[in-house]
Amino acid sequence: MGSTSTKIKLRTSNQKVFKVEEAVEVQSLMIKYFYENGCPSCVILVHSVSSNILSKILDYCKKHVNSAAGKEDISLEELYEWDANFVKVDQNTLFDLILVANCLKIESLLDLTCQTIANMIKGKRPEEIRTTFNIKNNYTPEAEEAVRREKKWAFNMLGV
Amino acid sequence: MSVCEELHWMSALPDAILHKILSLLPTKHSVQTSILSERWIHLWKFTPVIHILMYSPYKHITPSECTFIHTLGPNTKLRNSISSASSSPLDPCGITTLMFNTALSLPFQDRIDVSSLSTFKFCGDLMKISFTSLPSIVEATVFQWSYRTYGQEFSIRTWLRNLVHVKELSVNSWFSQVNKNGWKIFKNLKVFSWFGPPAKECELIALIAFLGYCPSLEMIEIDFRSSYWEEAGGSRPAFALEPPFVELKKGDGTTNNRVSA
Repeated sequence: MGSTSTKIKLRTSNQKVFKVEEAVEVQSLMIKYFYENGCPSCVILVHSVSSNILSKILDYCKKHVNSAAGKEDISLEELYEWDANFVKVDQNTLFDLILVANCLKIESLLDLTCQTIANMIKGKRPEEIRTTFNIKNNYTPEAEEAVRREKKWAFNMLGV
Repeated sequence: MSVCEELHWMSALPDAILHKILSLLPTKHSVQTSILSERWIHLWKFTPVIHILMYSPYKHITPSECTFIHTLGPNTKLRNSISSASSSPLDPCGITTLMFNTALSLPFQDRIDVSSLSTFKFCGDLMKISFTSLPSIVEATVFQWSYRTYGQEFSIRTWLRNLVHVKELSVNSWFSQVNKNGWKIFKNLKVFSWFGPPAKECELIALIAFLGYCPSLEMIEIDFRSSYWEEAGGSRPAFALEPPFVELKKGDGTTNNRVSA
């Protein structure tokens, strides 16, 4: 591997170029792959990622790389808290974060964001979930009733 | 415009991500999402985690719950989904985690393909279920209800036949009649967690002796909880022992097992 000062360039959909330290970006399995199998100095295009989402993601990677490497004096609890604040964003941002974490294969960020969504679903009735996430119910009333009947036990809310 | 509205971001997420999200929910909740819209009807079937939670051991299982649990097998699409999904090398999606808290009798081994199961968490009456082989299991948590009479003792080994790959084992009961030679199959065990106080002194002795047979042991967690549900409250193990444990002399002197009581 090259020296830690090697910069990888990422270009976003709105043509902004980010220079990233290799140590940070190898959090992303995908960029790591590019780096190890291609040219470390070339520009990687990250389609459909806007610059503010990418800079947020780089913040995340930097924080986690630095704390793992001991460069930043931060306890595990503080890191969890930082993560918790990191995902306190509006739904559209959360959606972008998930997609980018998925496409760049940043596992820890994907876990974090998916857990956030799961927490938003937890304890809600289906009707509330629809409202929260603006999901349009395209079942006919008969079809919905059939699904409900088929999985009757799951809709018995007693005992969660 | 209406297409855009319908394709709101949640429903527009790739299936794999929605499976991941649903696998973080208890199975009952993920089944409920099938009602959200047509997009969601089959999603829950692909979750690699089956987590069935029944809060009270005394709760009566309704017939529809029974039917669901007993047909988690060949007759439903679930099984097909699991086998087809696991054939994809990029996203192995067999059931990897099974969490079960129930008193139900479950003849699982011929109903669910558990060959890819890596995590098993169970709270209930062990006597009622049996697996012939769990070849890929690496983590097992078994919380046995204590109201069983001791006349029915049997070991975890009888129940999980193949323990050689297990790296983490958490139990609240351990029985003295386990054959010492049998303990050698724990050669890969790294973490051993003990939940409950031994009921008899000989169990404590057996427990300590057992730990001496685990050459890879890195951590022993000791916790005294009277109920499995304490875990849900986020209570951490009372303390964890890490090497060096107290030296335990072995005959050949080649292994350096260390155990602390």
